Amino acid sequence: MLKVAIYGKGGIGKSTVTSNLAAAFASMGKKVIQIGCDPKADSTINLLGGEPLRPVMNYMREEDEEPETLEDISKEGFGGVLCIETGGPTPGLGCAGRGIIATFQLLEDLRLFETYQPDVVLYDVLGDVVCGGFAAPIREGYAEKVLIVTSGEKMALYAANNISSAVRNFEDRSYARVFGIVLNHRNVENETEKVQAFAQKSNIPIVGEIPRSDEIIRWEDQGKTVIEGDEDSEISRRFFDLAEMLLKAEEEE
Amino acid sequence: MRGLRKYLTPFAPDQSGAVSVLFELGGIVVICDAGGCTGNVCGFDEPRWFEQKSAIFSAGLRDMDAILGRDDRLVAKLADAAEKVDAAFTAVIGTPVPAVIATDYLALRRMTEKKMNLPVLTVDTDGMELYDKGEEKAFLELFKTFAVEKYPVDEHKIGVLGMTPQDVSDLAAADKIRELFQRKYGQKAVCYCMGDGLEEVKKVSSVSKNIVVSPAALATAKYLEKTFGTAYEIYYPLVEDLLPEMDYTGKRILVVHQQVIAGSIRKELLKRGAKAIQTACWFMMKKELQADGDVILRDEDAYIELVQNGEFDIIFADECMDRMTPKFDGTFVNTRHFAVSGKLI
Repeated sequence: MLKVAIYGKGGIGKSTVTSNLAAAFASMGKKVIQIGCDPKADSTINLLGGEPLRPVMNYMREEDEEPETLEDISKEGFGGVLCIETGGPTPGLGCAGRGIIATFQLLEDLRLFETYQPDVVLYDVLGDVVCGGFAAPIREGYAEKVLIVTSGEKMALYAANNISSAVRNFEDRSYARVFGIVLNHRNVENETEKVQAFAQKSNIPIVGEIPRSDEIIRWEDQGKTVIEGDEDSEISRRFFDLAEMLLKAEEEE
Repeated sequence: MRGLRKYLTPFAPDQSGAVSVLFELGGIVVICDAGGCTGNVCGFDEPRWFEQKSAIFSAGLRDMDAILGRDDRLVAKLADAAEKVDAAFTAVIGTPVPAVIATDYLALRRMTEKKMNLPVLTVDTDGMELYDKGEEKAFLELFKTFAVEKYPVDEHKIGVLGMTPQDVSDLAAADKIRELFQRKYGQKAVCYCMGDGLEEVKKVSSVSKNIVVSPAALATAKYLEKTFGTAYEIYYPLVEDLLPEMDYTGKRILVVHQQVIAGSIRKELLKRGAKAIQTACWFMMKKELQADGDVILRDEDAYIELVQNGEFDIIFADECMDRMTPKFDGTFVNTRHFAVSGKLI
């Protein structure tokens, strides 16, 4: 089972990358689960035709009890991708990190992996490894590979550096390893060179490159990933290439 | 109001149950708390604390440990304690603090194992569940860690799983069970976690069968059956001691206890001619042990309504519950449950 966590600065395009990867894997015939681990709960919206999914934390808040079945908290989206959102507390209250831990425990209790038997699990995680809860997706038993999404913007690279340092610090805990950088272009001056320099310094390969394109925005406006909208486009090909690379690495392991 | 308590004291939480399972086994047991949970275990939830020696520690967490997630300090403390105490293993027991800051027990175990030459157990209790849930986790963790070797089966040896003071409410229960099996069947009864130590846990595959005396041990019995092929039965061997001599013929009876003891009392009462028996539990109820009408009690009102509407002739329950239903005019049989009253037989 290929399990990948996607990290990166807020607003850098993690959900776009994750959803398109999920759609690419699904189009390749794989059984996929995408778990959004952001209190905003918008990770999977473009796999679901623009219709938001009821997050786990909303279920708990509104029903005041734990869900009994996976159907209560998940929905199948494009290509049969099983979509789950952890959601979070009311902004400014409670603890979002604890929400992620509680959701993961619940998914374990509901025997998500045993029941659904996925080939690929993608965790789309909020911005940075801010606390224990947000490191949960890279703990033993969860994701084994980390993708860091960044552009050439200074703050995006700063966040990418924080994430790679955090993951390295966890080495003695048998956590996930960084698989590579996904360069999501923002048309910053000398963008490729800047990210290449960071990649070289951090010794992390650039495994994917998504050109700046209105195509992504156009399909997302319709509640779709680019893969769903135009499987043959250049952007789609980039996601298919990355998906193939991840699968190949998993097979080789 | 749902959950409001006017009669009963709060029940022991899951971390107390986990500690009870490990109490006698010669390990360093560290409760991952600021001190209060350990105080509860030693002051209220573990009656053996006043009679027996056990290396129970509090991690002594402070605000900055929680904010900064300094579990490396805990590992250092554990390594230090292991040098000073002659222990067979180290166990880390979770409480609400590590649950809220998302302490990773698997990582903690890995880091601790690298620092010291002792087996490390971690139990991810969170203080939000009741004692039996913690026992269930600790029993499984204990046997999965130590029962790794397959020994030849001794037909004259049986195992008793699920013995803790919270469940059997009698510190002499293990001795009584050992004596009973020796006298009646010529068998040696091994009472895990009450009187029989870690060496017997390691040799659990040598017993001819296991007897499960509390629902918290059922998952472990299933694990041992799957791993070593050891069959199990579910009943409380001392049930006859809990039934006073009286005429039960045609009587409607309510039994409130932990599920296995309640079920054993039911079976015995039916043999003695009772007409209808309903059981109720404040704690976990396994579906496979449940009969029609058996209920989990969510709060005091649920119990009071059950008695008011049940037309029972006899109630078997801990004496502390007698005053909850002053209008009940049948016979109340005091059936001690330490987990409910904090009182022993």
